[in-house]
Amino acid sequence: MTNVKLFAIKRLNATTLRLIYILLALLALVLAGGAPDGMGGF
Amino acid sequence: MILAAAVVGAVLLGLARGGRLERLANLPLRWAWGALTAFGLQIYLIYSPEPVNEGMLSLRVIVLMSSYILLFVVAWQNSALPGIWLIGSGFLSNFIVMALNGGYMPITAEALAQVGHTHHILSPETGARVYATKDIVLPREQTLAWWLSDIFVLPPPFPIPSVFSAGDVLIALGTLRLIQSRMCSERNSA
Repeated sequence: MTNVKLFAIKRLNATTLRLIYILLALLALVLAGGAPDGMGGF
Repeated sequence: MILAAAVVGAVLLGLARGGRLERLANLPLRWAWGALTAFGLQIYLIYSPEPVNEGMLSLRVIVLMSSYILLFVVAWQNSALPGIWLIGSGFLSNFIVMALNGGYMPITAEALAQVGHTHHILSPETGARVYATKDIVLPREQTLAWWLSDIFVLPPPFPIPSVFSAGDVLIALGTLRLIQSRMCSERNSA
């Protein structure tokens, strides 16, 4: 049972990290390609 | 900021439609480092701008244009993803108007005044840079391909007063399509 929980936590962390990476990459793509005048630049 | 809000809004809409973040996490985005590098290059350029545009041969403009070339490669590498052609078309639209006008996005002083950002103009001269943007101030009659420049105004009381271009609209729509199709499609299950 403990092993299952540990695996679930590791899996969650890997997915969460991958989600953060994808969101940052998408934000970088969109912000670097766009050219609006707005609050905080980009 | 308005484009960042578009990305966040697309994710929230996906969640409201019953989409899953796990599917977005598994997006097979290639050359993501290219997008991050282009963004990193631009941060220095927009937060340490020269007061007046120094022309296409200045180091800053060469770096800015090069960052767009890198973005084209990223878009090409991901051409199989839904919405990426809209995003790439937005890049191209912004790149064309910037290249035609000395390497930066033209914006009129009137548009800046409408959103209350005139204090960001770094010089009273024509071609002045606007702090924390990729913009230069040009009168409409001196702007080539004016219709592709920052002409759409969202003035206060809109929470994020902004001026944006047709290219920015294409990028936002493409991002919406990409995120929605990924989060809400059953075929892309995690």
